[in-house]
Amino acid sequence: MLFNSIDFAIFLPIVFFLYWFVINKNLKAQNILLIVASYIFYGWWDWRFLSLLICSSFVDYIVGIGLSKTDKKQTRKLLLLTSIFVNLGLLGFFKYYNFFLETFVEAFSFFGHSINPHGLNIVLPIGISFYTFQTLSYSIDVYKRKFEPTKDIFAFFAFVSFFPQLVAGPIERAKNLLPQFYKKRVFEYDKAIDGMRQILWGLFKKIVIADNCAIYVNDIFENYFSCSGSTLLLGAILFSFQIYGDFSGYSDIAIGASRLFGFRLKRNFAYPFFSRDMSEFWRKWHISLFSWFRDFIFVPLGGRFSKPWIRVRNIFIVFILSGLWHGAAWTFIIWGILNAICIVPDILRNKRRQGTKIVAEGRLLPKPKELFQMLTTFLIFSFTLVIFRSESIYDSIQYIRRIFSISLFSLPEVFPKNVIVLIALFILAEWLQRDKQHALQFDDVALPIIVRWGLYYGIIWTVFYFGGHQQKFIYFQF
Amino acid sequence: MKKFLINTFLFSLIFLILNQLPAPFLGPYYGNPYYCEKYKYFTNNHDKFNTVIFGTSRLYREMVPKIFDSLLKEYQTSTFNLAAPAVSHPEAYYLYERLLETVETNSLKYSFIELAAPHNSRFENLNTTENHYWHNLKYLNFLIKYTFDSDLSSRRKIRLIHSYIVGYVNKAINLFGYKKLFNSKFYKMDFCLGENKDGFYSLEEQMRDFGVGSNAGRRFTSFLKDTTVLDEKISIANKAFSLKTNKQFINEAHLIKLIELIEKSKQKGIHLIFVMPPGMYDYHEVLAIKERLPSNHIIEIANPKIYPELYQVNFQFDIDHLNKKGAVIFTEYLANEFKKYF
Repeated sequence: MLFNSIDFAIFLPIVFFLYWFVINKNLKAQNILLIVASYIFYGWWDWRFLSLLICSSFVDYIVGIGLSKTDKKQTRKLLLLTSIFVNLGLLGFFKYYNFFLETFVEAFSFFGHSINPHGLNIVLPIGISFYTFQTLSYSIDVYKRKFEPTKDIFAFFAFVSFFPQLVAGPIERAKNLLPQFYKKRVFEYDKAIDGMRQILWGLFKKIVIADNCAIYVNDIFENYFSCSGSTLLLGAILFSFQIYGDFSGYSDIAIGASRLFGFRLKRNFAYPFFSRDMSEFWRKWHISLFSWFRDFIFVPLGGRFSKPWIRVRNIFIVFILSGLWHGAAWTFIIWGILNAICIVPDILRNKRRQGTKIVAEGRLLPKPKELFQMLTTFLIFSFTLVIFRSESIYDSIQYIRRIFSISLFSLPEVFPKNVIVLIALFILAEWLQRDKQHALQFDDVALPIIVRWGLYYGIIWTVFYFGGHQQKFIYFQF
Repeated sequence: MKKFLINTFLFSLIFLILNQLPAPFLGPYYGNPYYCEKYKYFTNNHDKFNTVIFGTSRLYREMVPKIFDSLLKEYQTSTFNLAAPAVSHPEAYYLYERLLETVETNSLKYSFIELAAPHNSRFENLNTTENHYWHNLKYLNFLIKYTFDSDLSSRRKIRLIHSYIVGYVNKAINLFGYKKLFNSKFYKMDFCLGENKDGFYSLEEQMRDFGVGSNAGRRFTSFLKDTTVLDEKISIANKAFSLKTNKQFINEAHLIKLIELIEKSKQKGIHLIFVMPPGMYDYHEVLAIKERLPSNHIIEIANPKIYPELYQVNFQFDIDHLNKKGAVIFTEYLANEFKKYF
């Protein structure tokens, strides 16, 4: 089920009503309802793949119980390996089987050997990269004794399948989300209203910004060989807004919907386009994935306090894996490597901005230097995305080569005025609210109801005015 | 919680009320700008015409009134083509029924409606304004009955019914009302009436007027790149026409609807004829229905064995439509078939 569909607009109030009015007294019943609702939400796309979700949940539940009952190092290791094998096995088979097969065939043919293996027509189950990482993190945390395993099977299954974040994150960690399933949830007006606002902002990002950019981006990337340099540059920039609007929009809707049920999910985006360098950018973009890689790959390999060359190697490992996580194609791997290259200078200079500190804090406008840094970071990211979006490495090289031609100084063949105005308004709203969790958070501003409601109606009509061509979320394919 | 519910209710109520504001300004056919324009012209000139054509882009691009009337001089037909792109099949019935109910139709003698199965519409199109602006309870009821009576898989039936209900809710809430209201101001659609102002406008003319980069141009170049898809079209049609089971399966809801339309037309003194042009879809349901309709109310011009020219590359504009030459041939066939009954 898509968040931007009428189906979800009907589904959400029904689940909300049952959750708060029919079974609000019974925590277990609420968790069971969330499991059933989540399975309906997931099965709406293809019910057959529910078996994978159930399998992944069941294995990690059993592994957790097993780990709690034994102190034998060997047995514990075996249990952890079972979880890793099952989760990465599912991911490997459904996502990477054909990719590795093709790579082997190409490698063999390079050395003069020809093999003709059987490729499989595999459909990638939606959200598999997200929920397998989530369950895997649970088993690893339990193995490392960082988290007490649960015996409550309903809480655990609800944690794995929780519908707002099931198919495109944020990838939750057990220590944050699972305990919320043990406690009685209390409805809080302010949080629920804020959740609704965040859903609205997410829909705006997805339907108004991302889907409108998609129309031009698809056209430009499909016909890049006949476009001028300026058009191609515009295409790359629009794709940055498309992917940001699409993915952060999904996260906003997920976080907002969770709040309606009394849950608090991790923040997944912290205004990454206002970053002053690439290392800051990657701490603000898809936070839940990169914190996963940090905790389970980067830190075990040595972390921040290792020798510089070890840190550089680890950065490359993390970004290559991140590229591979996004998709089974060489374009994603190269994209990961490029991002690692962009971050290495900061690592070597040991230059690291503190946390996700807000740019130009306390000021309305950034300093010229900050503005320059933000623009540069954005452009670097946009260029790396050309590889991410292209069908092949060859296409991406041709695309970038064509940008740097004399036609870069001509007027673009397409100039989507409406979309550019909308993007400008969008950036303005995010800039003004950059110290908040999302752009429609008005906790500390006492706006009259007529202004607030007028603003909400305006956004809703903008969504319907510019919407209508429903597009799937990009991150569903990952 | 109480405060939350009251505020949500009030917010939604105001939203629903505000959404209804554009409705009176939209007109009944706001989802199909082509039909809007044609309908406007027809109602202003209805005395001039005694024959009308309803259907999808197939009949719009393939039925040439000027040729048709010249071949039927003895019948004194004066034809206006009201078929339009993106019209689905029950929509064509709806448009025809509304015409009978709202327009002075004394001058009308003959009506032609394209016949195909309603479920041939693409899923992704079912939730668009174009596909639900005409929804009302009567037609929702028909679509649900039709879907239940069809021989589709249960999964497909559920998906279709779900899409129809969602479309109806969409229409009732008028979610895209403001969008349609503002956008309608920017369209100038009189080109769609064609050079003779008889509602026929070929795809070649559209490509000529709007360029090869237009939708028509893209369809044309895409077809030229791979004309082998025509073989698939022929194969689908041959398979349907050779099936013996055609006569066994009947979609009763569809048949009842067609007979109801014939009766309604009779009451107005109009002879209604259903037309089956060549199309890239599964014919088997409508072929069975054809056998049950009175023979002077159905003309089938789709069998590749009888009408092979209509499947030849040189008479095609794209996979779904004939070009102007093909349209002339199709119209001649239609006129000849018409003559057999009268």
